This record gives sequence, C-alpha cells and structure tokens, in this order.
Amino acid sequence: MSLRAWRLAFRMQRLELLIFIAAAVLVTAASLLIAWGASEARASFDACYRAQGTDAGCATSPSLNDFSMWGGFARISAFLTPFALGLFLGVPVVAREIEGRTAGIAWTLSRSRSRWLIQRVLPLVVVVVVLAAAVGIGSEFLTRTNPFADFSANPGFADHTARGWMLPVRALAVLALGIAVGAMVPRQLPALLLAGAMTLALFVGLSVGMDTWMTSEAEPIPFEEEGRFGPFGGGPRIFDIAYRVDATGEVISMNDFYNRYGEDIFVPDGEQPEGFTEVAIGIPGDEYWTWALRESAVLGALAVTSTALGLVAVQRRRP
Amino acid sequence: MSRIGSWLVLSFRLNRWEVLASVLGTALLAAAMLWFTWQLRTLAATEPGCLDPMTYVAACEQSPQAFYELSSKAELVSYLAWLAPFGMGLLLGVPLVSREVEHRTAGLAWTLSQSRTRWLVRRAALLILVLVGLLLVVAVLGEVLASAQMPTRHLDRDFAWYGRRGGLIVVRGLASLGLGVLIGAWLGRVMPALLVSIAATVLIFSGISLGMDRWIEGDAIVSVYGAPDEGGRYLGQRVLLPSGELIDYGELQRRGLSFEAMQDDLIYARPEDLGHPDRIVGRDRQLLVPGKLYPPIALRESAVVGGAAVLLTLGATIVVSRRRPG
Repeated sequence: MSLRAWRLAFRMQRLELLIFIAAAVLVTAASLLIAWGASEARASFDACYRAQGTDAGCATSPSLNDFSMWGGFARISAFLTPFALGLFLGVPVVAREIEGRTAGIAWTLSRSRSRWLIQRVLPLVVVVVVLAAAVGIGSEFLTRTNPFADFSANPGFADHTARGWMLPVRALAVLALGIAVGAMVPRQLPALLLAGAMTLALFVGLSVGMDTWMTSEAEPIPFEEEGRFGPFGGGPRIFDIAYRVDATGEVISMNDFYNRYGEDIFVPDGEQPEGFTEVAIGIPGDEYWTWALRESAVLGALAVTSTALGLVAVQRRRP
Repeated sequence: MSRIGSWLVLSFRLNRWEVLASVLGTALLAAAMLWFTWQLRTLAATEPGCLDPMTYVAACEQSPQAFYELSSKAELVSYLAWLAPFGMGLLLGVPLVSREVEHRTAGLAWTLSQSRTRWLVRRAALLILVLVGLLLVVAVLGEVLASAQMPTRHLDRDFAWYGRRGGLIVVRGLASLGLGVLIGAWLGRVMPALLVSIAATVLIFSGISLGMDRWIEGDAIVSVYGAPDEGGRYLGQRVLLPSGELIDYGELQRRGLSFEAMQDDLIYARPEDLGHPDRIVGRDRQLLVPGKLYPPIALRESAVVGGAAVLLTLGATIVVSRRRPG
C-alpha cells in the first residue's frame, strides 16, 4: 500500500479519527492517572493501618471511594470504546461513498473493488487496534490498582470486558461488521442503527453463549475465609454457590442440598453444617487466558465472515 | 398538489429513513409498554390484595412473586422510554443540516430559498411534528405503564419513574433535536456530528440533572436514613454532625472522620464507644424531596430544558445563517 493511499484513507475520515484519537488519549491518560493516584492512596492507607492497627484517621484525600468511582467512569468508557470505534469508523467506509454518489468514480479509478476496499480499510484497522489497545492498557492498570481488591498480580476475570487484550479484538470484530452493514445499507445513519442493533444482539448472544460454555466447565472453588477483600482472590468467574461433602468430595447445588437435608442441618450461629464445605462453582482466574483466546477465536470468526460479506457486497452492488 | 402537501412530501423524502426508524422504534416500544400494562393489570385484577411482595398474605403465595417479576421487566422497558427522547432527537436533528453540507447540496438549497432561516424552519417543522407526536405517545404510555406497575401509589405526587413518564420526555426530545441540528450545522459531517452530539448530550443533561438536584436540595427534608420515602425523591445519604452541620459521607472521609460502628442511627468512631451517645461522630440521615412537590419540580425542570432547547435552536439558526455551504 502506498503512502498516498494511507493519506487518502485518513483524509476521508479525518474528523472522526481526530475525535477518536483525542478521546482515546483522554481516557488512557485519565485511567493511568487514576491508577497511579489509587495506588499511592492505597499504599498510604495500608501503611497507616499497619502502624495503628485500626483504620481510624487513615482516610486519604481524595478517598479510596473517590478513586473507585472515577475508575468506574473510566472503565465504562473503556467498555464502550471498541463499539464506538468499530461502528463509527466501519459503517461510513462504503455507505458514505454510495450515499454521496462518489462510489462509482472511486471504484472505476481503482484496479478492483476489493483492492479499493482493502486500501480504505487497512489504515482503519491499524488505527482501531492502536487506539483500542491504548485504552485497554490504561484500563488494565486501573483494574490492577483497584483500591478494594488485590489484583496486582492476576486480575483474572475482573472487568474482563473493559480491559486489556479483548478491547482491540472486539473493536476489530465490530469494525468488520460495520463495514459489511455499511456496504449493504447505502445510507450512513440507517446503516449505523442497523449495525448497532446487530452488534448488540451478537454481543448479548456471545455473552450468553460464553457463560453457558463456561458453566459446563466450571469447577468447585474453595472460599478464602481470611481474604482481606472478600472470599475470592485472583478474580475467578463465579456462577453458583454449592456444598461439597467432605467425606466423598461430591458437590451438591444449594437447591439439592435443601431438598436432601432440609433446614435443620444448619447450626444456629450461621457456621457451615458439619461435614460439608461451602464452595463456589466457577472458573478460576488463572484460566482467564484460555477463555480470552476462545472468545477471541469466536470474534475472529465473526470478523472474517463479516469481511467476506463486505467484500461480496462491494463486488456485487450498484455504485 | 397543494403547497403544504408538496412540503410534507419533500420533507418526508429527505428524512425518510430517520422518520421511519423513529416510527418503528416507537411502535415497538409502545407495543411492549401496552403488553406489560395489560399483563400487570390482569394480574392485579385477579388478586388485588396480593400485589406487595414484601407483605405475607396466606391466601396468595404465588401472585406477589409473579407481579414482582413482571414489574422488574416493565421497569427495564421504562428505561427505553427514558432513552427515547435523546436517541430520537439526535437521530432526527443531526442529519438535518449536516447531510446537506456533506453532500454539497446546501449551497443550492440555500440559494433557492428566500432565506436560510426560512429554509431551516421549513425543513425542521415536519421533524418537530413527528418528534413531538411520537414522544407524546411514549410519555402517555409511560404514565399508563407506571400506574399499572405501581397501582397503590398516587403517581401525580410521586417521583417514581422520573423522566420515564410525562411531559419531560417531550421537552428533552426537543432539546436533543436542537442540539443535534446545532452540532450538525457546525461540523457539516453526519458521523462526526453524531459522535460529538452524543458526548454533548451526556454532558449537558448530566449537568442539568446535577444542577436540578442542587436546586431542589432547598426543598428537601432531612429524615432518618432508611425511613420510607412515600414517593419522595432521594437525594443521598448524609451525616448530621453534633454541631448541626449536614455533610455527605465523602466529606466525612475527607475530614478524616472515619467510623467503625453504628447503632440505630448513631455513628461511632470505635466499637467501644457504642452506648455512649455523647461520643457519636454523627447521625445517619437522608435527604428527601417530598412526593407532593413532583408536579412543580417536573415543571421547573421542563422549563430549564425547554429554555435550553430554545437557546440551542437559536444557536443552530445563527450557525446556519453564517456558515459556508460546503
């Protein structure tokens, strides 16, 4: 691809690109600043707590709650980033040319329509991957410095839809889908609406499908009674709570447990029934990468299918 | 064809997709709202004494749970009613001028018209009519669904579903339309204008909402935290310090006043202070605007948003009058 083709591709969507670059820089910088501030505040709080043995008078300003709230806003922005990038950059690639009646000239001047589409899309792919990755890295720091959890070594599934590797993967899938829909519906706004609705349906379906898949491979995870931030460290994905029979190792769901033993088995002070251990049913945080790769493969297949559809639509449609 | 007829046809043709998408979206939303209203009313009519899931009545084991589950789903639909004015306003407003500029037809259209303002009014009139008509349907059905979901409450003096029912929906739609037209006319490109409009809508309406909350704090009463709200608008949890000052929990932390124990509504710094009311950090309180103030406050916010709509429309008119057509 020539430098001229890259410059042309950028010029065609320069306003959108400028807005997205500014927004991505803002979100990434904000995430890094919040992560740094939260980390410092947490260190100061922990030092005070260790020195005093109580948290009285250890509050920081801004407080850990403030950092948690700001981090929440940054995480929402990170979650939305792949969808906004993919839809707003992908849909107009073909739809705007057809709507503005410039597709005929562009396609005539190019050696082939496929070549034209690839030359237009490649620079966008680079931009989308770089911006989504930058936001994903910023958000990764944010999760690892969460003031109310211990994710610095391994965040596992915590905030997994709004950080790290999955953001560029999701953005690419949505970009490909947006291009395909834009090639089939030759008006920008209707195409954007349709692509938005399809993206929503696909990602809800993907989420439900992945949860079902994970549930089928879920395993018992013991509670950490001494955990400072609740019963689970390492960010596991929890789907259910159950009892394990200590003698046999059999895991019984809560419903089955009540049906089998009734309420009388519970001791009055809320302790666990003798001979049973309460466990969570889920996927340990260590297995995050296996599942991230599986989800990426599904999204990759979606992106390849959408790209093929987009190419066919561009080849066959009237300009 | 009469002049009005040709104006209607031209206006519709130019915005056919956006109008049709808005009509379809409203039809689907209205159908969902009517279905939930019918289902909730049917359940309520079958066993009128079994609507409160918190109250145990021996004769009705299943009905409260069924009503509660259906109510939760109806509540989700009501959030679409909250979203409708912003979505529809931007969808209809953003392309009004930006598409003409982007396709380089604005110059021709403005030259053929007596004035750019007149052109804008003629082009926007049908969209305003469509928007107001569709949002009125959403606003009225919001009231109908709310009364079916909360049959025992007096919704004319209740903040429940604020912004998801009633006239505020229509006014918010008009303000979003004005914002969309203004930013579309300023940027002259549909997609960037839509992006910026979405960001501006979030900022402006969050600002108005926060500003209104500060404004109505003067009408709020202080009560014990957790006391029944009776249709009031909850403005947040507060701490009443022994000095009589009322602050929020964030401010309490910022002042380094942490607490480790609470008994009834009394907050103590340490567990060993429990039972010594003279050692309290403060009292747990909430700020609540009484439900009877719902009509004047909704009217006040409608006036603010309506004022914003007028300003945005004026701004759009000025931008259209002054900008270059391409």
